[in-house]
Amino acid sequence: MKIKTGCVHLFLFLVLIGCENEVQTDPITENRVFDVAMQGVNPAWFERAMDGVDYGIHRVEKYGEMAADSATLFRNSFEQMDSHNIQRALLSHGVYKESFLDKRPDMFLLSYEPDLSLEDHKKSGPGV
Amino acid sequence: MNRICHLKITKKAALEFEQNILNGRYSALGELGLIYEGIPLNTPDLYPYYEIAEKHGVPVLIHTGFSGPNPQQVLSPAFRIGTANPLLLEDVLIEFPDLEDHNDAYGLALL
Repeated sequence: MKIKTGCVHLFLFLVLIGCENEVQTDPITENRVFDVAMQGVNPAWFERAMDGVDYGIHRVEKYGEMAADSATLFRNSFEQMDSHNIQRALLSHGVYKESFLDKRPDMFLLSYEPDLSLEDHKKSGPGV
Repeated sequence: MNRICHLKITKKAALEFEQNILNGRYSALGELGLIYEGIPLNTPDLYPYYEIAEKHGVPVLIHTGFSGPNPQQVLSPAFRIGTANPLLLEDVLIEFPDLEDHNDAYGLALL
């Protein structure tokens, strides 16, 4: 009986010690990161195009499934960017390119794609 | 996905690109997915844009190398990896020696 009581007390002591210790964060990198090739691609397109592909950059790793809607896309994207200390990103193509910029204008830079027609250039440029 | 790359490159379009650099809307050129249409990286069609990018110190992002499995079926039937040999950029860099250059793994060159 005494031994059991001693073990219980020791266990509680160790638990309290663990709780009092400062929670250790696990930053993947302390260096500030600039993502030079970020795309605002529609997840629905990506899923269709990469159906059955589990290769290279197309591996579904973190969340196990593609984002079902734009709100999830943005939430998951910003979560990953923050956890990897990505502070700035250069956005190229994708239907959500402008939306990413609207949500965090301090984080994103827009890249110009000259594969549009001249008419599309006029529509995309402010006052041009 | 059919990624259509309309290379309607005119001097006027390039000047509009320059205007959007000056007004702060754009900070880079690209991603230029020339490989998806089988267009070689050293195509002179883009030289008007490179001239402006070099002039204003704007980086250029170019897709080089591979993309993923079965690109002709998944991405574009015109996809040709031979057109995306990074060595083809040598012509561009000789013509525009002050163009900012960065090579990314897997297939991106940031000039």
